[in-house]
Amino acid sequence: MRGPQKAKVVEKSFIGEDVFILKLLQPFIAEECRPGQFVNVRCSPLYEPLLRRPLSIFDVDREKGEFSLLIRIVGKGTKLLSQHKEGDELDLLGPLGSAFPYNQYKNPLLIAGGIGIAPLYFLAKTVDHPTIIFGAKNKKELYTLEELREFATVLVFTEDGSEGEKGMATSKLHRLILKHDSVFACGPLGMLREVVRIAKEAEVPSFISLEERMACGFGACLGCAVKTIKGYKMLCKDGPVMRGEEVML
Amino acid sequence: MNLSISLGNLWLKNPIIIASGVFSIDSAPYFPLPDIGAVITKTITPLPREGNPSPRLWETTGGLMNSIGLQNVGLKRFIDEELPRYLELSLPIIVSISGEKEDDFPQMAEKLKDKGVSGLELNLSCPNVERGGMHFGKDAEVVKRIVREVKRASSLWVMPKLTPQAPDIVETAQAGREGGADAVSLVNTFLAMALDIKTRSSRLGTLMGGLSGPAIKPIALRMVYEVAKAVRIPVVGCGGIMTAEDALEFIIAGASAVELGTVCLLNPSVPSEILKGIKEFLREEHIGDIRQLIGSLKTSNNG
Repeated sequence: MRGPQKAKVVEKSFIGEDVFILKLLQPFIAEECRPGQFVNVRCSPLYEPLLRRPLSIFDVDREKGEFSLLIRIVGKGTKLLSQHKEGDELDLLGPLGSAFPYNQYKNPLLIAGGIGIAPLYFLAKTVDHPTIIFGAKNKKELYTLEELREFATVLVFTEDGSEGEKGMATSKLHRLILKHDSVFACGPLGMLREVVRIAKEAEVPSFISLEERMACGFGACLGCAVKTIKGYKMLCKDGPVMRGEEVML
Repeated sequence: MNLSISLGNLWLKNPIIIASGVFSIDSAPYFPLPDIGAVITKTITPLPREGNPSPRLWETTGGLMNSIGLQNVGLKRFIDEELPRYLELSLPIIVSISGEKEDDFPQMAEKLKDKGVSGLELNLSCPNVERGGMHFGKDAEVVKRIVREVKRASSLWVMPKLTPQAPDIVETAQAGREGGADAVSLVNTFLAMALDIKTRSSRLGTLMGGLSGPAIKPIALRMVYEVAKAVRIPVVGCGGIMTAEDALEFIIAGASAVELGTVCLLNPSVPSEILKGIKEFLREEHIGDIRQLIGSLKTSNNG
């Protein structure tokens, strides 16, 4: 049976005003998870909030049986998660959903927008010689940039020019994409639309990690529907990583 | 200790039923199957339905609104591809069916009658479809007619699922019994709304959705009590059950069994936890048979 699992909070560290990393000890999930997949986390032992919160896996340490989540506080669920302390136990389901098909391509280009770095950090650690475009509103929202630079070639864009080039993550994508055989992206909807449009023009396959309101996370309720050219797909099971050309964004 | 119950001529090893809409055949590995009394499938319709536009979910205080819209593969593919896998679970499988026309129900029953299912739940209560659904369940005469025609079309065990939107749910339950129902289940979700004040639009892809979860439990419990008191067929209670205590409340109010819906979405292991809690309660109370508890509510002090 693949029911909920317990995970111990090993470390919680704030890396911004409302962004934190939760490192969890859970050997099964650490062993099984692949970049792009998520866990569905219960925020409180009570029933308020009622639903779990789906969160992308940000980093893994398989030897220690640990994995991390990069979380921005956006509502009461993530607020409750931010209040957990070292040693606390969390209840989670996972790993869930689809992964980036990184082993089917030789030379992917990774693109992250803001907090969308979460699944791409794990992906960048997994592929050889990764190149990643990292865009954000400003320097402060380039979460974990320094760590990322240790193992990846990072092209930085900020909207206000406070770090890297001034512009959007997709500003130079039409040129940068030409050297790559695939694009893997996560970020705001506007960015993903641009990524898919540019990738289509360049005839490069794109894979995007999406968000939708979700309940079960394991394909039972059919709540997290995403419209695709093949009809509705379920984000929790057919996604969260989906083919850019198929999704009707 | 006896935990088995009977819903007319359907025997269940325990009173815990997985409600329609929270279980799919591919999600079976997430559920503790040995602890489940019966599974009700997601509602099947004569033809495939693609469901409603997203967003289909909205979380409320103590509740969940949904507007899934009966997305399903249609009866033919269900029978050919999914049902054989359901039957391998070695559990009683109750198929939830619905349609846009009254005739759809007996026609579907006819096609399911010799397929090994344990019974049918008639979804006369879905608030998320334009035709059929709860529009049938609001009219007692229609409920009676549909149940009667389904019973004529097959010898299957039949349980209409009732809508709390009915003007008088006791009357619709009674109509179900008169039509020949073996049991009734209640309640389905409450028709509800949630708005985004900035965009002045619904939080859901549709204008309204169905509210489930602990927020509706006290109302569901009251309705189960009223129906169980008035109608002489077994009642299956449903609506916001999260814990063993909740399940026991429904049983004491008159339910012979309970359906777990929303709670399974946040905790698919919950059937085991509730079963364990029920066993502990029976032990503490020195009750050897759960059937002694059904409808055991004392009302003498409440006028």
